[in-house]
Amino acid sequence: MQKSRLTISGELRGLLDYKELVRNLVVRDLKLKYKGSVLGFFWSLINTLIMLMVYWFVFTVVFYVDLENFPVYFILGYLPWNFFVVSLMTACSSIVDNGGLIKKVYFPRMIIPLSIVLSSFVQFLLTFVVLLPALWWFDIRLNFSMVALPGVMILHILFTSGVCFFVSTIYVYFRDTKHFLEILVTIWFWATPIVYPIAKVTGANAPMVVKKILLYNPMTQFINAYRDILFLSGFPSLRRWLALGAVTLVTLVIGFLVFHRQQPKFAETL
Amino acid sequence: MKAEPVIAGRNLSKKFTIHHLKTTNLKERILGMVHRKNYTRETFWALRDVEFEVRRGETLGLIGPNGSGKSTLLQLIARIILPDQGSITIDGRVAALLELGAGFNPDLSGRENIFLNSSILGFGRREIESKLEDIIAFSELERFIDTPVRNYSTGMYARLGFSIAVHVDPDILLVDEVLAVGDEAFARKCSEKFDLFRKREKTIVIVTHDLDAVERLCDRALLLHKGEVITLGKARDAIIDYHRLVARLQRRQEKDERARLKRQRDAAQSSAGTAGDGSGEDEETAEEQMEQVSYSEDRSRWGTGEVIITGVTFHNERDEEESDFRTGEKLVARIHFRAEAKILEPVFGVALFDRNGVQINGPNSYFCDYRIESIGPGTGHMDYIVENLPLLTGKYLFSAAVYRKDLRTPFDHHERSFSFRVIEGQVRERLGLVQLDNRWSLNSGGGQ
Repeated sequence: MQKSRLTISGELRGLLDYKELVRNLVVRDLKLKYKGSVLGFFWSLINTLIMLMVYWFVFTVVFYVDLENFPVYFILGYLPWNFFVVSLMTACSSIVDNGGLIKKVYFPRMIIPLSIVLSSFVQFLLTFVVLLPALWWFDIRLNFSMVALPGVMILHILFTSGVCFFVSTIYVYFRDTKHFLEILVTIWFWATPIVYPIAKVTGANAPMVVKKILLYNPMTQFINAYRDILFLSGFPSLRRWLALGAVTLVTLVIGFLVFHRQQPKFAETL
Repeated sequence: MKAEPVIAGRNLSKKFTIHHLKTTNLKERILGMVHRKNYTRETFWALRDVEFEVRRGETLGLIGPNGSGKSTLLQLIARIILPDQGSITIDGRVAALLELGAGFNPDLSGRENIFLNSSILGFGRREIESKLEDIIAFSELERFIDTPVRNYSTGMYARLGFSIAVHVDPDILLVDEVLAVGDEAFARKCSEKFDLFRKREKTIVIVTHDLDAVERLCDRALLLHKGEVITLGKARDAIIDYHRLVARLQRRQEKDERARLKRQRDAAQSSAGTAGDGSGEDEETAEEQMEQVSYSEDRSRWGTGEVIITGVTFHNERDEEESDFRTGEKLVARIHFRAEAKILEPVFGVALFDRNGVQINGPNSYFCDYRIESIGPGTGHMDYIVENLPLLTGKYLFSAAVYRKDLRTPFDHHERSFSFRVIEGQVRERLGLVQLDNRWSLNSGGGQ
């Protein structure tokens, strides 16, 4: 007997029952993204390389900042960031975009933002793998610390999912959310050491507030974890792991609960 | 055999809130909070205390006028929305055909959409792979299955959607107004599939305005009006109650309309300085009479009551009243009526049924090109004349009705309320219902 009201464990079981749907939605996303374009997947690669060149130009030619191995540093910040932002912006309106489906068929609604996060993760991973040989060229060798990479990635996915659950729920009630997010993301981008070295800011003469923002910014922690592993060839510190674990847990629980509470009302609100 | 209920609703209520000033952006919402006046909400109950059960293997029809809550109830069963009060329990896998091909992606091929769509319905890849060929064959889309569905016609789209939904093998199938899919051959396949579902003890809930389909397919029906259950019982009973409900609503609407016109007229007259006449009084008594007709407990009668059929008598060729006839004799069915006011271009209709309820015919004066300018006020009768009665021995039921010229508004409809018998005569044909105007002719090849 199925009761009409869904418990949290029921919600989780539902996600498992519908894993086939998650898979199909991810595959559909990827297929549609590159269907009909000649260069297909290479566009996201080209995009990354262009961004790299622009920022490289700005920092080394215009501002004359001395950076060692800037391309590696940049890519390790930009790709994880891009995964996060693309997920966020697509997931934000996803419940509303799929309103027709939500009003007609029952399935665990969480699958919609979740499949978006996963499909942008797959793209992130592909770009990552293609760009990995470049590391070699910059004298960074494969090393044992890379076994920590999947751990960081899983936390990164869960954190992103939590945020996506939250914003996609809010967007159902407030369509301003997207505009607000666009601004937030721009500020957040510069509040994260993606294109500049963190040492420049955490130097002695930087204001305390700025340091705090950088330090407590979860994306800083994630990007630094990627850099710990692939740029500095070392394990992220225990402190970093704890910080990542805590921020992921809190975000995921809040996002999940907010979504879980509101999802029965989606069909009638849309 | 009484199976356990697979769907059970217990005083099920669903409330919707209508925001009269649609506030979806932050600025409006904040302003709305500050001066509360610019945003009013109204709640209405789409369903109220609905109590019902559907047993395993049963087919239930949900009927009712627009806005009666049928689709809301179906959404509740499909778990798309949750009730505000009461509870609903469902036992089994549900496939909802609330929209054929909901979730189809236009850029993907038919085959890809089969996988996507069936996983939306909650079915795994292996299950679908084993049925893929059946799904494609049933949809008759073999040639187009690898083209993107954006190139499909509406019919092809619906056929594929229907084919997926009936092949995923749900325990409970919910259907919303999607029975009319494709051409006649496909429609027949669909109804065969329905029959198969019923044979295999699957439970089906159908929402439709097609009352013929309800009578044909459903064991029971639930009539809803303004979110409340009017009738839950045999499909036939619910359908008759539905007819009566529609007639009552229509009459009320007309009454309001007349009242409105009268007010306008009165206003015009009083402004012109003349007094109104007293014709309103007669109208009232007529209204009351109409109320009585349709509130009567008699399930076999409905209508607005502007014309009332006071009775039907059967007459033989000598115009004597008679109840027994012989095959080949003349039969006159005399429909006696009374009209309170002058009625323009009414249409009379009759229908014959055998004792099992099989309809034999159902002509009306309009389709027979018999035009009536007007009837009433007063009484009169209309004769339906059959020169050579072709019916064989047995008891026959007779319906008589008089409708407005739109053929849809019943003034008074008596469903199978009258009867006559056909008794043995010279005719020696025994099997079936009718004697056709026929003969035999041998053309033997064997020689003689």
